[in-house]
Amino acid sequence: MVKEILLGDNPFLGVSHLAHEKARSEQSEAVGLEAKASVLKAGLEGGVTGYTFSTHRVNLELLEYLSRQYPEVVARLNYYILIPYAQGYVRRANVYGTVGLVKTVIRDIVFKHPVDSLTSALALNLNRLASLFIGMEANPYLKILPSDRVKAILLHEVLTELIMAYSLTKLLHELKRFIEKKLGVGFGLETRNIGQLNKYLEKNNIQVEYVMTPMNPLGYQMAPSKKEAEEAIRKLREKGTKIIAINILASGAVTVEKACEYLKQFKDNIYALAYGTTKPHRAKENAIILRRKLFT
Amino acid sequence: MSGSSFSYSRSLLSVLSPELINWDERLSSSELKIAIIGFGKMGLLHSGILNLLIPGVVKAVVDKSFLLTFGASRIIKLIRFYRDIEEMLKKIEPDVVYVTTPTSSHYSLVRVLMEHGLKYIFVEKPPTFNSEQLRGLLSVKKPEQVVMVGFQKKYALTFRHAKLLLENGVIGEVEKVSSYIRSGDILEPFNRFGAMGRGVLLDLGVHLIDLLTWFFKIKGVIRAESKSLYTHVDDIFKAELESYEGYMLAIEASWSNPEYRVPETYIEVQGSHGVIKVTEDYLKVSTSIEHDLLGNRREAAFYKPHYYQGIPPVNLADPEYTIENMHFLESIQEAREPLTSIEKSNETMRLIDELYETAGKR
Repeated sequence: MVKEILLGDNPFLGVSHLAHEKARSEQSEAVGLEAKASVLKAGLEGGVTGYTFSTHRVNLELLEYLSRQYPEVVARLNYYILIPYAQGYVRRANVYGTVGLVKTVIRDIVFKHPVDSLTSALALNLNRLASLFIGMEANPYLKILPSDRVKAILLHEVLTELIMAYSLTKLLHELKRFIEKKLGVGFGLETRNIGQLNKYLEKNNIQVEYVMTPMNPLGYQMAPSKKEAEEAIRKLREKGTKIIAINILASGAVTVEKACEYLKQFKDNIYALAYGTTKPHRAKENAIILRRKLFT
Repeated sequence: MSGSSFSYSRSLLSVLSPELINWDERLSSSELKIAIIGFGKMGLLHSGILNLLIPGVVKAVVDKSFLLTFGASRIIKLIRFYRDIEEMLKKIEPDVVYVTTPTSSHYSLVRVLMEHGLKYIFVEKPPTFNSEQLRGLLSVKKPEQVVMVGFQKKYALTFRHAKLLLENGVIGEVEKVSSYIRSGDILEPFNRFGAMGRGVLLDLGVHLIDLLTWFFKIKGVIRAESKSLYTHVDDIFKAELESYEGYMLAIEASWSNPEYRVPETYIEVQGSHGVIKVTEDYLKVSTSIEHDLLGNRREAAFYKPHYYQGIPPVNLADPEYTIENMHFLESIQEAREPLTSIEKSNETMRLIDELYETAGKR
């Protein structure tokens, strides 16, 4: 049963999976904090229940602004945090090289957690160091958001896919433990390879609370194929995983009505739906349509 | 975007991406041993895609950084890590090696691998620093060796579709081409490329040049100029090329444009009957002739979601990377020359040299 409707941050960051051209135009529409705040407020009016975002500084600025100007908005939303903002690290790797990037990240972790990082380094426990990195990324947000409203921290798809590709099961266990026990929030994985993820979790007997993955009538970003992705979603749901469907509009290639027609068959498998927009009226209208079509 | 666009693009998929037809049958029997040299961003990306396509196919990684190999070996148990290529070649005996190191080392590494007798090599773009080095590699390459270059834009379905439309005269005779490749990667003083003496044209612009040489018959460079903003090399490169048919091609490469969060390649082709605009994300066509390749329409726009419907089988970074890797593995399995073989990169590298010479750079 669908329980939540989430607004996503991609358009605020200049991300569009349809076209970079569209992303640039959307970003210029929602350039100010007030413009972004009005999207969230309109979404709430339409029935949006949460905000899912990556740890990009734009989101920190927005949430700080909302906390000051609209604390009632912050208090009403649930939060699903994606870590890290991968594109930021890709750009830094382009400039400084991977070794340079790794050194910078380690230096940041040591600066923030001198004792923990030293003990992890001495014990050669790099999985633990990775946890400290997640903590370092999450902490600024956890400080300003109401703790009971932060529902989950999810690993960004790039991390999830690499964990699967290299079978980093110990790392996954460590990050899950850290997020659930130390940070006290739900743990999730974002993926664009849901079929492979289901098999990987099954093989390694790992249960995660949330999985965030694209679901749309075109099968865009659904792998290894649309059919196998749908099957994996059903199987994960049977095992108790809460599915957060993203990219439900196939990056704007389908209408919200078409998306609803498709998602209807999965409404018992989906826990939350997410979409992004820079237009307040769209934020509200989409939420109303999704509620009407999928919450009954 | 109309509904007919969807069905139209779906029927085209087998033409645009033959790599995806029965891929699981074609690759499932693969017992290749793959090694990666250079565990930076591209090494991680390729090994990740390869392992998601065929679990466990990447057996070894070589990187000269102690920090990377030691750190990665503590976390990744599936793969053996080395700092010495010879040692890896001896102990792993890989069938395939990916070279994903910085450009300055491509020539020497590929040469070592060729001389070692390795049969299948993938080298990231650009294959070499210049065309002289490329000819050097071709001179030692044995006929049975396959070397593929990571010009992944040729595996993006939008560009493949544009080529198909151009070849079939959907917009008539080509009259003018405008193009750019832009990113916002370098927006502060930076010295990493200084020693090499070549900047954005070689690093990023090479994709655009490779696409243009694939689409059109380019005779030479009319004019070229470059500008340094943050580095000691070219941060912006602008040029005008001439085709054998006489039309002009304007190009721009920049890695210092703050409007571009991620790189974008744009080619606009003005024809006698219409225009094609294409990027990694979309293909837009407007023509005065009804053509069956456009579903007998005069206007069409296709975006990524129209092409990549339940494909490719692995999503890690842009879809063209997966198709590129599948293409290479299938070329090996089926013993055929890859679309982006090192031999086919010759024209691109020759033009890169000519552009730098015309702009007064070495």
